[in-house]
Amino acid sequence: MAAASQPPTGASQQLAQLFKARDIALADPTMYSQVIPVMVAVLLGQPPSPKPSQIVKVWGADFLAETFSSTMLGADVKQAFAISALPVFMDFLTLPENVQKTPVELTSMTKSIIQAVASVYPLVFRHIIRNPNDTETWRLMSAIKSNVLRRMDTELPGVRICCLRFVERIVQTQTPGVIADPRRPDQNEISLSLVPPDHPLIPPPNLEAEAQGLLDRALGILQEHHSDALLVTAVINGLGGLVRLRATIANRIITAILNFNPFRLTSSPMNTANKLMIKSMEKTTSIFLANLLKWAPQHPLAVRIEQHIIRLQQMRKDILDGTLKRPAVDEPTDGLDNAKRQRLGADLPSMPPAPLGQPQLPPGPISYAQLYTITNDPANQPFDVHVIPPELAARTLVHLLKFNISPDQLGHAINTVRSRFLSLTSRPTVVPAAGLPTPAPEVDDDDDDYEPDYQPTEDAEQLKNRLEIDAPEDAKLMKQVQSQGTVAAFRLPRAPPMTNEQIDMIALATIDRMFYTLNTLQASQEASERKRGFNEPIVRGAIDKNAYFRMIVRIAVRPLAGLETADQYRTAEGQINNETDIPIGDIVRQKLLQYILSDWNRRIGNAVTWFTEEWLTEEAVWKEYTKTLNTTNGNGGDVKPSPPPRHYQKWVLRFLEDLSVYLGGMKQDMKILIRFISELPALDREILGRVAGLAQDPERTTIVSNSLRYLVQYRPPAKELALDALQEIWKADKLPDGPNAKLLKSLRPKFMEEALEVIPKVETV
Amino acid sequence: MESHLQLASAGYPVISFGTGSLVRLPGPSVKEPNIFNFNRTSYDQMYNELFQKDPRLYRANGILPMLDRNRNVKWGPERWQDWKVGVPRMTEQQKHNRGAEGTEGGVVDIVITCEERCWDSVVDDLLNRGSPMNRPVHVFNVDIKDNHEDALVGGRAILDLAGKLNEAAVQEREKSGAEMWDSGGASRTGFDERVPYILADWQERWPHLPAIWTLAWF
Repeated sequence: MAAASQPPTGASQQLAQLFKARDIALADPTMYSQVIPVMVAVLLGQPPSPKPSQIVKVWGADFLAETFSSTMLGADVKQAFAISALPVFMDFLTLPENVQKTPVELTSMTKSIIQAVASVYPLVFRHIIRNPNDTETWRLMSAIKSNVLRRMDTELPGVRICCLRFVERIVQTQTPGVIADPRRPDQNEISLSLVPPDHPLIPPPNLEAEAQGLLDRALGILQEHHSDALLVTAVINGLGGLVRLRATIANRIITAILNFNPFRLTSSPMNTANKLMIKSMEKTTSIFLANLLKWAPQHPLAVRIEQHIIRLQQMRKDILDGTLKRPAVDEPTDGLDNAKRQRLGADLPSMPPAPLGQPQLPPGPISYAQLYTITNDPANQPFDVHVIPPELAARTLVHLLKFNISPDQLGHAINTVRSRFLSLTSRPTVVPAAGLPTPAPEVDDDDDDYEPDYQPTEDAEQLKNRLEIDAPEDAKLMKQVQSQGTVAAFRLPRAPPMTNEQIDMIALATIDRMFYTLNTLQASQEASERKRGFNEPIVRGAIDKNAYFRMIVRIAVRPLAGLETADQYRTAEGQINNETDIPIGDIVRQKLLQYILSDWNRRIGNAVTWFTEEWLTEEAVWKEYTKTLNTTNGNGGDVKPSPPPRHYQKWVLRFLEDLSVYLGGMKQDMKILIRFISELPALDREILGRVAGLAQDPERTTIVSNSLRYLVQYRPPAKELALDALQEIWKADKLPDGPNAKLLKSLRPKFMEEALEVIPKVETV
Repeated sequence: MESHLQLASAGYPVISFGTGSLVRLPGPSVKEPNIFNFNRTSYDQMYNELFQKDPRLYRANGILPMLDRNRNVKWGPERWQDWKVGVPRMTEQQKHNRGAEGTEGGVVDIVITCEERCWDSVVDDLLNRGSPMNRPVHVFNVDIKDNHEDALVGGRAILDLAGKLNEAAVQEREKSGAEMWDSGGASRTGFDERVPYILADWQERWPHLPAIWTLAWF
């Protein structure tokens, strides 16, 4: 201001005045409205200001970048000034004649100006949406835009990152976003969605196409300049907002990041700078992906992202920490090493045929497998050829025989088997045990070359039965069996009784399967709408995810209800050695807990279902128990039955404790917390104490207080308990005029009077 | 805070933050830490509270001397995630912090963390913010063990790093002066692209403090 009224003589004097003006505006943002016009005039050298010196221009560029990114100024105010500042941007960005690239001495200023342009672009865009006839402004903005975009590939990296940020800003502005509230256009984020389809200056299809092209250029950096950590990290770190706010392009961004390999630099010499850059790029990529997972854990690419993060970490460990680093190979790696896969078409040194193994055949009957086995390697001997599919085996065999096996070797192998066969046939025939049929060697069955070598433990009768089942078409065998005429009624041997461990294992497997089915149901019915009333699937007898979930809950809660005692749980908890020692109900409960927490945002209704069932059953069991207690008392002398265990409170507390890891302080978290504690069938001091404990994280103080105040208002039976809990929370911060304080003042006036009296005393000590 | 003190003493503008949810100081046992709120508790209050609790214990484990140092550096601990970047720091309380001069605009050019998980939190938080200001910021981590001796050494190392970065930034700035307009300049590179190499040189001088870096956005 002073700068304009009294033109200064020297640049330093002018700078001092500008600094003062900035300080005034920083201290009082309303002063910007006076400072900015003056600043624009000074920077454009409009009379009475002199032509700005280079130092003043650099300072001015910084000031504009700071001002247009300031959070203290409203978007509308900034928008108005942005239009007036466009000529300054254009002036500063215009290079002297015959200069193609920003000289080093101008980099600092250019960087600041491009930052300011990036901040201003959405604002000018919104101005144009509202003023479709302001051709002049849009022309100027377009000229600035193309000036900056031209610099993107040629400038120094420091300037290029600012250009890239500008590109990301353009992409964010020129792609469709979400209109949060159509009634309040001022609150909406600036995006293509706000542009009417028939806008004369900025037709949406053209702009979106431009945005897509620019996004490709920005993402291309990850592939083309993978060695420049500055560019790469700048691009990745700038994509954080874009990937969340623009669903239409999020997948492209994620795919590009997943395809980016930060370790390509490893091909260049591993000096300190390269190591550092690799590590930095890898960490930046990992954090970006982890951030994405935190934001959208249900994203379709989530699994891939998770795997990618793990792979990146592993690779960093291997490459940089050198744990698995292999030393350089000593022998020539020209593909001629016989131990390696061989290069096709290379002249291989001739190799003597490998000696064939000729394991001695054991005395007695032998199988075809033994007959044909010509290797001494015990690892290869039991290999079962059935695992290779016939078509694959056929192709491989032809190839092997044609190219890899020398005729000598083949002939040698054939001769070996032939001589074995001859020696076998010359052996005296072994008489098979009574009733034990010998597999007929004449039948040339493909399966015959595999004969497991075991002694059957079944009796002859059972064996015959099995033969009947296994080979009903084998006419010869059938005849043999029929001729003996001894087919008797088949008796299945009685299975031995199952051990407790087996039963537990099967039970565990069944539980796992139930949850698997639940997940399948969940996935298949995700999209379908929830029907209520008589159309509800459970009423119609159909199974849907909710009905199935309730069934699992009842399996956890009901079967043992009334049979188990609290003592059993005490001993069980005291001496749990392995999973099977835990009562089966608790295993299911644990799984329920995991199931709900794995998507707690959407499954909080399931938690309520569970705890309602739990409470209902517990009430019923205790009612029964009190009744028995009364009758035993009447009889006198009887031993009092042990009380049944209390599950409800224990598991609600546990759930709250586990939830506290995930719960944040946002509005949706509050909705979930309120719903949960207001729908729980029973609240007691401990549960509410645990809820109040959630407020220990200052982020959650507001949502916990809101939930408790909700209870005070809408759940009269829990009112006093909730007030107690609220008191505890209030004691932590003792804000004298917050909503908690107001409520407590009206409902607990005595407590508040005492508490507020104490506070000043503490301060004076 | 040791680094804050050293940087501020060397004349650099400094703001310092914590990234946890609460300020946790060692208590009488591992399970009973002393917990304070960020942004609302001053170092002076903490000092007085611990002094009243058990002056002998807290002097012996170095907490009281540390708080005493801190209360002469700044008013109280601030939390990174609560920091509103770009909001001017012009209150009396902020002006009295050491190294406040130059931070009036509420932004910084360089962020240095002293633990890798803090670096992770900072980069993650900047991603969450969605870079509304379009302003580049170099985020460094220098891994320093959290004890008094290592803090002193680490503080010196950070000061060294800041010095080298500042040198490069000044070189870039000075080229902008009108008198430099015609000179060719020996190194035709700007500040930002030199940063990883400056850090690599620094790493060779301080091999026991593993460093990492990224270019993020405010």
